[in-house]
Amino acid sequence: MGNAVTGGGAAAALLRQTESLVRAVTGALYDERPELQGKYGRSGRDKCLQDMRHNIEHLAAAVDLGEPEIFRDYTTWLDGLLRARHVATDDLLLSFQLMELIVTSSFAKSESGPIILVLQAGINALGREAAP
Amino acid sequence: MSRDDFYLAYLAAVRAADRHEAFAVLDRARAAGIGVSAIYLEVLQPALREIGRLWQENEISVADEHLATAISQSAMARLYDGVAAATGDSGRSLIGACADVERHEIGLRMICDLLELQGWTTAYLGGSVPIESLVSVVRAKRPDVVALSVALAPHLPRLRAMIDALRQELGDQCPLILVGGRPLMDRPELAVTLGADMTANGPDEAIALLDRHFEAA
Repeated sequence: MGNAVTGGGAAAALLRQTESLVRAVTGALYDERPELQGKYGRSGRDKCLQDMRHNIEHLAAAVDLGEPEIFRDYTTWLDGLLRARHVATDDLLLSFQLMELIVTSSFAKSESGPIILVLQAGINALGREAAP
Repeated sequence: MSRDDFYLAYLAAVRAADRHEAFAVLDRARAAGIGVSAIYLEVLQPALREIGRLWQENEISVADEHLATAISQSAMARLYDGVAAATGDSGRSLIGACADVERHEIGLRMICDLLELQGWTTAYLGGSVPIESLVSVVRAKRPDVVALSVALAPHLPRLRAMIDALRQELGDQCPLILVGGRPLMDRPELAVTLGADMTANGPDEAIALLDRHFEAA
């Protein structure tokens, strides 16, 4: 199938590697922003891991169906939900950007391509929100 | 009291997790001559949408939301019991199932009840139905409509797999497939990607679409 838009394989790879990806992105986020520990407290990191799992499940569904808009809708909804719980859009955006870097470096190119395409729909939605 | 007053009173009761008051509000609405379908669509549904919004805004907890849902499910069973005997037979039938494992099933249950009140025969299979069981039930019962709901986007691929299996196994005999749920309310064009025949953004729209479809047929 070459580079045809078949998200099934990429989505399956994403779901297989959910746990390692969740841990890698959360670790990178707290490395990048050590102040998050103080900002969101002890339970913050657990919630972050849990949210990251949901993010990847939504990402995988959008990749599977080849519909980036599904992930864009989810991101906009999630951002509203998190802002009501005092989590900044910038922190969510950074977690997506770190996920993009980690997916690019740890997945085969045939898998990372469709994943990044969908992830960017979410990043763009947040970019608009974060802009002044 | 107007329908809006009943809505506000019901919302206040479920927010307070007061099941008895919630039931009493609906009894007063019935006594005031408001029909079951109007109570579903103009009291329960808007109250549940508001509860969902309050959860999203972090004004109520997940537990509050679950309580409101549970009260509303009992309220529906109670309301429906009072009128079920009055239904006729339109000759139409529907089988409903959730693609999710969750309990976000009230919309689909409302569709089943409201159609029953119009004389349809409906069967609701719940969530987590294995795809092959769904196919064999549909093959055996030959409903006019299969209604599938999905609350969360991660289950969309499973919904697509359900529809693929129905179409593949039943071919020309495949019933009309109606899909609905949160991800489709945001983006109705997904119905095409999923392989469904139609989508609705709520029980009232679903009923109207089905009425129109079968009137035309």
